[in-house]
Amino acid sequence: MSTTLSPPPRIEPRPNYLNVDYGWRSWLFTTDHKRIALLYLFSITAFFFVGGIFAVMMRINLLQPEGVSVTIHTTSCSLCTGLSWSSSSWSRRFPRHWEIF
Amino acid sequence: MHGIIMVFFFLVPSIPATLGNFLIPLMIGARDLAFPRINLLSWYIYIVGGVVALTAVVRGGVDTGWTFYAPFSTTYSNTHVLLAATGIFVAGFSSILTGLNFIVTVHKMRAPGMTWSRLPLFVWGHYATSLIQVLGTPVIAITLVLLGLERILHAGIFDPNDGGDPVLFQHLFWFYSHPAVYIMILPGMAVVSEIVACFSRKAIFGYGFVAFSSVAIAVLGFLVWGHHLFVAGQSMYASMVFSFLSFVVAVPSAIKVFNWTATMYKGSISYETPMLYAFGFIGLFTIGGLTGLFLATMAIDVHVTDTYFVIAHFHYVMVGGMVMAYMGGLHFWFPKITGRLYPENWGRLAAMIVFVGFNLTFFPQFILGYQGMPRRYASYPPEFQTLHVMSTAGASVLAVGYIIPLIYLTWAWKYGPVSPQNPWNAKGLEWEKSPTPPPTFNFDTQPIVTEPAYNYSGTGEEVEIG
Repeated sequence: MSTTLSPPPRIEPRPNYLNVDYGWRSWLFTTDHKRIALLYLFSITAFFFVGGIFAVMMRINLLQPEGVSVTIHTTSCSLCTGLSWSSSSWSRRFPRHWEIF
Repeated sequence: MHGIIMVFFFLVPSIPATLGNFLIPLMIGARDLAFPRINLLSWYIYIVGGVVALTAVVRGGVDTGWTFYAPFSTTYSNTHVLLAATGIFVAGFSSILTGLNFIVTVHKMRAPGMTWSRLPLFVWGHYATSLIQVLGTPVIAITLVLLGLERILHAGIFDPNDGGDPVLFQHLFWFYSHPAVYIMILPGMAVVSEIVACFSRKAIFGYGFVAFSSVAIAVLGFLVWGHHLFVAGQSMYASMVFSFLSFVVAVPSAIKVFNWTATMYKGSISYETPMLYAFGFIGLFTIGGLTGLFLATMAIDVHVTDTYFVIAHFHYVMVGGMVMAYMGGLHFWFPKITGRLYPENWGRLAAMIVFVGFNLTFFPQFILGYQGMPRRYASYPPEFQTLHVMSTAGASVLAVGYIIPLIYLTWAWKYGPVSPQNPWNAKGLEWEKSPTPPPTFNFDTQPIVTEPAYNYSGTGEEVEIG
């Protein structure tokens, strides 16, 4: 005695503003306020974290009374642009300061 | 650069351009904003402004701070002042256009039955914000143009040698930038009004007062810019008037705080993530607001002006207030936006980490400032080190608190359980009448409003305002 279960009918998601269209054109040329809101959401979040990085650099700088120098330096390899913080001798070797405040 | 990016490219557009853009048409029962193409244009303008400002960052930054005070910005600074000012100038138009769009939309596109006295308080808050954006932002644009003229052509507007006045710059700058802090906080208050009513299962206490206090803050906000100039050589009588008016702004802000508290009183409160952020907002905004009164008092302001006390004060309002509300709003409407649910326990954990990290970061700064640590200094006497290390430790906790939601919200967008139409059983057209996530034109049929906002008790008492 066996009951054969037929697979459940596939429920198509009803059209909404996210699945109505795909591709970058449908986003960058949209006039839907909801999609524009998402464009803003992503760009604003990016700016929030850029600003946050500056906040972190300031807080590191203020760890020691004389100031920990937070320097952005480019090493000989142009791809290895990096972030370093250490005491004053470093900032003399890598004098390219960023204004973080 | 931290200030420029956070103020002009995060705080000012954050809630209005994301949550406001998404929700205002849904809340008033409209198919879209009044000017959809202008809406898209304002995003492009924002991106252009942002890219220009980031160019200034990449090329070495700006050493004037976000306030660009003359004469340092006009004469002495050797950094990329013009580039940064151009970025802000451009982004300002985005802000004006968004504000204009909201005002026209709220006036012209409300659904049948959506009277002014039935508008959700979210919409009222954004309406007041838009008024400030439209009226105030042109002033910062003019100020930045004058700054450019002074820097390139030595026009003499801010230079006493040519008959100008550097303090004039501060007047022009703060005439926008003080109302701008209300551009930042009013949408936060708007979000909290929605969250508090929903998670207390009660109509908001004193709807009319909360609605009009937004407008009152918008109007009064234009009259208090002089409290930034108490030590700038402003006339004593002007300072007294500005001091008094600054106290007056506290009244509508306090009305809101008391009314949220009264809404929660005897409410059926549940402690979901948005409500935790709303609690955080109310507590931290109150601290930020009350220390604002300290600073509005001239005798105290002379002592703590340009110290960490000021920094702590506005971070309590901006980060403790606005960013808390933004996070709360993002969680509250996340199901609406994505059609999926976020992991509730991770949300609660992150909300508590943010709260602890925030206080650990900024409370020591009140003490630092009171003891005399000035702003904008990279070094300090050794006796301040303990508090500075505490603050940095707090900032690390805070950073973790912001990265956790970034991770689980991204995850939930893709893999979260599918949300029902109204996961919070909340009131409002956006939850009750629009599918989740909404279709392109928001509603399947034109909604008709038959009850006041926040009718959680179902009794439908009508409030009469206006």
